[in-house]
Formats: sequence, structure tokens, C-alpha cells
Amino acid sequence: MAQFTSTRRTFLAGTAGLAAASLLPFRALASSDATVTVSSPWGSNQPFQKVVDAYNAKKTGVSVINRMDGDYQEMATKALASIASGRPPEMMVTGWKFGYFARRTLGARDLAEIDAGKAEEIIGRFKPNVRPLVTIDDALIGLPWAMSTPVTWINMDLWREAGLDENIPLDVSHAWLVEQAARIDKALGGRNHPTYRSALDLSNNEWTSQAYIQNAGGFILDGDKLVCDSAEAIEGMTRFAEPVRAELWTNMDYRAQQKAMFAGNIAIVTTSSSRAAAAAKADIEFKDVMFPSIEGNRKMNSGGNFLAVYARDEELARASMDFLAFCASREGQEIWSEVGYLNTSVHDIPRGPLQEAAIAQLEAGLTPETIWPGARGLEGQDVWRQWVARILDGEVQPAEGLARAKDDLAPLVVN
Amino acid sequence: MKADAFARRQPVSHVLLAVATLLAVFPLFWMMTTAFTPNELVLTKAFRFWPDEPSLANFRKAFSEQPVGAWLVNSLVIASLVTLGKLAIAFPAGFAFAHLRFAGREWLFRAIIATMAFPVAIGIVPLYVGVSLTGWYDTRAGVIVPSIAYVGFYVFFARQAFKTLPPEMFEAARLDNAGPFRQFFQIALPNVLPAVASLAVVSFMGAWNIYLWALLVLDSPEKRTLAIGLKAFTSLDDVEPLWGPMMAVALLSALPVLVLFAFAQRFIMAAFSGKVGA
Amino acid sequence: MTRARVRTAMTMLAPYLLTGPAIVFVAVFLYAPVLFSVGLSFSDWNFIHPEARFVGLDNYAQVLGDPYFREAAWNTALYCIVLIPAQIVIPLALAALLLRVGESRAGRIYKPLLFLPTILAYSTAGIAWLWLFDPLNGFLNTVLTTLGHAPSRWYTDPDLALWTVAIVTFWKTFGLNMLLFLAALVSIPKDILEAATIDKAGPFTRFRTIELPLISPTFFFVAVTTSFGVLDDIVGVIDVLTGGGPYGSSTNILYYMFERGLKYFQFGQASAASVIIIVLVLAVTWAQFRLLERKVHYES
Repeated sequence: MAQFTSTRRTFLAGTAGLAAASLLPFRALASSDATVTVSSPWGSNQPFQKVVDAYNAKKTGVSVINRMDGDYQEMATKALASIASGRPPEMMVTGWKFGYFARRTLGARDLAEIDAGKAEEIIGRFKPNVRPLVTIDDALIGLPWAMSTPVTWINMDLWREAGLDENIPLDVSHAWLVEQAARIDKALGGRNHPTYRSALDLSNNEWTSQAYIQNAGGFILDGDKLVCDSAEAIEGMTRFAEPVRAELWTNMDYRAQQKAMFAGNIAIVTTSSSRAAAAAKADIEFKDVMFPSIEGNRKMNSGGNFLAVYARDEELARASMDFLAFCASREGQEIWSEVGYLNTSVHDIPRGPLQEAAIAQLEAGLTPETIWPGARGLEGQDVWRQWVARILDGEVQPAEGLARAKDDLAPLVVN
Repeated sequence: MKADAFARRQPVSHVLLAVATLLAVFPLFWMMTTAFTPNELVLTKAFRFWPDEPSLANFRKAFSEQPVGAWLVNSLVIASLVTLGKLAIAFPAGFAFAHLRFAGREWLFRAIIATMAFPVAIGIVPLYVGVSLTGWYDTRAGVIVPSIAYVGFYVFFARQAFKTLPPEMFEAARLDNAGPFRQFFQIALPNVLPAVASLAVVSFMGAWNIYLWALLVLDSPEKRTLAIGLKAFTSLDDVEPLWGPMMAVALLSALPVLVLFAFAQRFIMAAFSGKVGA
Repeated sequence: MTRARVRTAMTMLAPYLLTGPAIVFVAVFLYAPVLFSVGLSFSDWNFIHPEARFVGLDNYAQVLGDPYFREAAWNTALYCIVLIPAQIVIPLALAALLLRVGESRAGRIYKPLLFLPTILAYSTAGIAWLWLFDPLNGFLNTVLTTLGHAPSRWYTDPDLALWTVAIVTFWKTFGLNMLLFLAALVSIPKDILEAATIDKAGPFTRFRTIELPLISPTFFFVAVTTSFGVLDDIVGVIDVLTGGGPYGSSTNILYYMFERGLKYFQFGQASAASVIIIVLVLAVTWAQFRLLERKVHYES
């Protein structure tokens, strides 16, 4: 029940620690007994909890509590409220797409400002190319420890049942994938199959739609400039929506889709490579291949999250840094690698199962995901998602939908 | 006699009511079936109106994944305190509005009654800001205290109940030199206990189900109530669809009000159908 | 001071002491927030910009110009057009049927079972239906596909989301109006009904010409409370079932306000929306009183 210890108590313990520190000469962390709460999207049955437990077992004098607060967006919303009420979580897992929002609106701390030496030591444990992802407005705001990229997950049980060739190439194209989906639906769709419901699901969200646009040669944002209505973007979105028109894709929200994938409802899903760990453990046999190219072209985006410090109190901020140092260590990274993210650290950690496609895409080079600028970045993401959903549902044609998305987004991306 | 015979010969009415009743109850029945069906079976396509081997596995899973026990306690504490608070402010006010004369009586009464027309969510932003700035965010008090304020109906109902008591009752008391407080506690209140019971039951059920406000104020998982904890299940980042455990918690959240309803039906019906007094 | 004077003072003060707590609660937690909203609606204050500035009608212009607000307003109108008559007519019909089957054994079973959904929490009700409507494994789609129809997307379908919210809201709330109507019908003296039966009036004619006019005050009360309740009742269901989506197709103005304020923290816009809602509620209330008061037959 450790993770359910009240945060109010955490807060009090924190202030008590501060009071003690102001009376006594500052000593090692071991004597201060600080408690820090991490707001995260992971429950107590997830590998992140193991990282926390391993750190707590070391009894450094800092104890860490993992609190599951929903998805990136819900966490950011809650953080805003708790910051306003004077009780921010000391640390929060923040999606890369909310990097500006985290720094400019939520006030994520510059790690160098908390402890320059330790910050340098921590970031030194990561590959140099991921450092820009956590450097916002010249501040180092987090631990770049979770990187993923959208790949294609194939449910091999359904694939075989439909009588398709098991030798699937690693590099697949959109046209080929849609063709296979049509064959699967023809084989399984007609009868009352116990689990099969949909042949394909490209994920109704901002992330895979971005990948389609980029693979077609376009972008959503070019710096702070909206370019989501270019001819290339329209081409990408047209392809993206095709399977819905062909009735191969039963459009559903992200959470429902994740569950449906693991319940064996969907034959082919394109989504985060971080589902590798869960896919490897599932009763269903999954195979990972690369995200569908558009006629051989692929310019894939990355995604993921960083662990940022929000504690206003210096004592708690330093305690948080101590936990970050553990997360960056070899021991921390080994436990963490179970989640299924790509290894961004300099440690040589054995590759997890089902990461072949993700690594191939990483080696080919990844762009960042759309980092929504402006204090209203949360809204920006929602507006984009809603237009993607409208296009998928056929409420608007891709060209019109993208143009109107641009109009709606324009006031949200300025600062 | 005639009316009874008239009541019995109504085959069409019976059929229509039976259909309506089935439609009304079916979602609850389906929730119960699912709660007792092992989660693996829940997801296979079949009409299963009752599991062959009913199982408590969903309840065990729910309790092990989330602090459902704490939610149950929180719901009980919050519902009880909101009820206590509402009754404690509504009945004295109802008595004063019914039997005492004072300047501004009509005006104040109308101001309270008018709040019945307020959409509950209308002041939610300022209230939320207030709760955040006073440090009541993520506390039970933050849920309970503002919820007590929705007493428009309660004051109205209490006043109606007290109005059924003859004024002579209080005239006699006044001659005995009993002040307004003694009149209220010793004479008025003991005579409207059924009304107290009605409002207590209605308030408890209402507070048990407080949703939007609790969702906003309560942040920590262990501080949630059952009504909002249920929502946490829909947003769990789990790969397995947890319909079984979700229905188990939904059933648990419904159970106390169902039991209360079964035992206190008389009072609830009285409160809702405006039958006041005894 | 003498004891007698103390007593007189107490008697004078007593009404205010007795009503005081209720007045204070109502003032602080219901009236003050509404007034505060009016103030906020003219400022840009929020957690992001803690220094408040007067921005005139900017927030109103933004809200009224927001296509999502217009969608929410249109949906609100749809919800009202569908739900208010349904929440009056169907409960009235059920109450009339319950009156006819009276206190027969079956009759005593219908009433509490029909009332059951009303006592549930929005989240409980919402989740029970979320499961029935589940596009992949839900009962309703199992029925559809077994009968050879294509499965429906229900609450994830932009054309159906609003209707699923309306259905769940109706299911969750009709019981209360049914009881109110039944209580009114039961209180009609039996001899009036019997006289009508002897007159050989058909059941519909009898209901329209005798019972309905006699319960018109209840009818009026139900009409008013239903139209007040409809905004609130829907919000809880929307939050569990659709979150207002897909892309705003099932949201209403109260939920729009809620999202502006507490999801995106645009307090000024949320407050402007809430002021607009209050004005609408007042206008509708006034119109209702005007319209219905004339038609209602008052006994007494």
C-alpha cells in the first residue's frame, strides 16, 4: 500500500524536513528523510513501480511514491491544478509533446539550476542525440529515458487463421498492408468469429497521423509555423483515412484500441513500439514490422516522455535529483528496460523482445513528435486530434479538414 | 370494490409495464452477470445470461488493483457528513420559515428556494478556484462543505413538514415560556421525524453519488469515492479490458443505495412524491 | 440586563440564528460563485496568468465565436427538444399505467423496479451502459451481429453519440417524474374516476379530459424541474460516456463550460459561458412560467 500514502502527508513531511534543515546544518540526504511523489501514467503493476521499489530499497533517506494519474494530458491538467493549490507533485512524467507546456506553463525545473554537477552527471548517461528533446528554452528539464516510435503490430494468430503468408517483410508499405487487411477481413469477417472485429487500426490520434503526413513528405508544424494543409499533408491524411472508407478499420479511441489489440479483436495495429513488453507477455503471438511507408518513403517520428522535476522546495528538488540519478544508472535502466522503450542510455543493455522494427526505424533517424508550442499546448493537441477524427469519420474531406484544423490551431500555437 | 376490479382487468397495462420494467432493469442485470463472470469469458462473444460457474475473481482483482476498500469508506464518510450537514441547516431554517415571524422572511425563503433552479455545475469554476486556493483541494472537506449548500429542496420540504403541525401547538409552548429553540427541538422536530427520515435517505443517496465535484476535488487515488473511483477503472492503462472488475466495482457502488432503497422505500417515495409529514 | 430582556432578545434573534446557517451556505457556495463568475468573465485571470486584467467582452466574443460553443449550444437545444418531452410524456404514461394496475401484486413490483435506475450514481449508470454499448464486445452489438446486422459504433459514432447520452440520461432520470405524476394521480378522488367509468368514456378520453386537468399543478412543477434538471443530468452522463466527443458531437453548454474552465483552465471563457447559461436559464424559466401558468388549471 506504499503508493497510496497520502500526498498531504508527503507535503507535511516535506515541510517538516525543510524546517529541520533550517535548524540544523545541512547534512547528507540520508538524514533528511524526504518523500517525493512522482505523478506517472503507470500503475503499481508496471515496471516503473519496480524502479521506484528498487530505489526505495536502497534507503537513501529519500522515499519515492509513484502515483498513477492517467494519460499525459490528464496528468498535465491535474498538475496545473495542484500547482495552483501550492502542492505540485515533486516529479512528473511528461510527454515530449508537452515539453513547452511543461517548461513555460507548468514551470518544470532546470536540472542544472538545482544541482549543476549532478545534472551534468545524469545527462551524461544518455546518448547525446536525445539531449535536445529535453532541452527547452535552454533549460535541461528532464531525464530523456523513454523513447518510442510508432510501429506495426501484427496479430499472428489471426494472420495465420486467415491463411496469409507467415514470412512478413520487416519493411512494409501502406498499400501492401491495406491489401493484407482486406484479405484478412475477407477470410474472418463474414463468420461469427469469437474475437476478430477489425482488420486494421492505424490509431486515431495525433501521433500516427503525423507519421503518415511525414511519410508523404509533409509536416504539421515547421517550427512554430503551421503547415498542416500542404499538398503532401493532404496526401498523407488521404492515405491514412483510406482503410476506414474501405471498412477495414473500426475507428475507436486510443484506450479502447489498446485493450482491443490485446483481446485479439484487431489483426493489424500501428501504434507505439513501447507495447513490446506487453505484446511479448500476451497469450496472443504478436510480430513487429516497421510502420507502413508511403511508396517506400518513410520519415518517422519519435515519442515518449521525460521525467521532470516540479518541486519548488530546494530540499525536495535535490531529493528528486537523487532519484533521477538512480533512474539514469545502469541498475535503474536495466529494470526500466522492461517497459519496452528503446534504450536511450549509454549503458549496454540487452535489447528486449519485439524491438526489431523500432530499432530499424531509430537507426534510419527519427524526427521529434509534434511539440505543441504556446501556453495552450494542451488545447492544440486536442484540436488536432479532433480534426484527425473528423477526417477519419468522413465528416470532412482531408483537404478541407486540414485547412480548418490550421484555422482552429492558429490562435493556440502563438505565445 | 369497483376500483379494485377495475385495477385487475388491465392486461394491456400489465404487458406495457412489464416491458418497461424489463428495459429499466436490464442494464443492472447485465452488470451483475458480468461482475460474476470470469473476465476471460466476458470478452468472448456469446449470450451468457448467467455464468455457469459464478466467480468472485473480478471482485478480488478490483480490490487488488485499486484501493476499493478505501473508496467504500470514503463514500460512507462523505455521504454521512453531507447528509448530517444538510439536515442540520435545513430543518432549523424550515421551522423558522414555517412558524416564526420575522423581517425578510419571504425574501430569504425565496432566495433559498430559487437555488433549486441553479444548474449544479454553474459555479463550479469559482468554487474550484476557491477550494484550490484555500488548501481544500484533495481533502474530504473540499467535497463535503460545498455540497451541503444545495439545500433548496430540503428547506422547502422541511417547511412543508412543519406547516402540517398546528400553530396552537406552539402557542401553548409560548405560554409555557418556551423559547423558539425549545419549541424547535422539543416540540417541532420530534413531530416530523418521518420527514427527517425521508430527507436523510434522499440526501444520503444523493451524496453517495456526488460525481463531477468529487472528481475535480479529490486527486489522490486513496481519497476517491466509489462513484469516481469507477472512472479510474475506465482510464487504467492496462492491456486487459477490465469489464469484469469494473462491473464488480459498479455493483459494489450500487449495492449500498440499493439496500437503503429496499429498506427505506417508504421514506424515499414520500420525499419524492412530496407527501409530507407522517 | 434582566433575564426577560435576554429572552426577548433571543426571541427576536432566533429566526435569524435558525435560518442563518442555511443562508450562509447558500450565499457563500451558490450565490457568491455565480457573482464571482460574472466578474471573472470580464478578466483574463487564470492559473497561467495570475495577474488579472480587465478584458471587456473579449471572453464573450471568444466563446460566442467558438464553433465548439455553437455546436454545444445546438446540441443543448437538441437534448432539450428530445429529453424534456420524453421525460414528461413517458413517465406520465407509466404513472397512468401504474394507477390502472393499482395495488395488485404485480403492480407493487413494477414501481420500485422502474425507480431503480434513478437512485444510481451517474458513473454507475454510465458504466453499465458503456458496457452494453461497447462497440467490440457489448451486448447490443452482440445482438445486432447475431441478427445479421452490422455492428454499430454507438457512443463513438458522431451521429449516435448524442442519442446514446440522451438514452442513458432518460433511463437514469425518468423514475422521479413517474413518482411525482403517480402521487398526483393517486390523490384524485376515486369517485370522480368511477363516475367517468360509468359515463363509458374511453380510457384516453377520460385521461385527457379528467385526470390530466386535475394534476396540472404537478404537470407544471414537473415541466419546470425537468427543464432545470436536463442540463445537469446530462453532464454526468457525458463525462462518463463520451467526454463530449467524438469532436464535440455530444457535448452540451454546461459541459463546454466545464471543459473550458477545468480542462484548459480558461477561467474567463468558462465564466463567460456560465453567465450565458444563467441568462438562458432565466429566459427559459420566465417563458415557461408565462406559457404554462396560463394553461394550468389551479384548484384550491
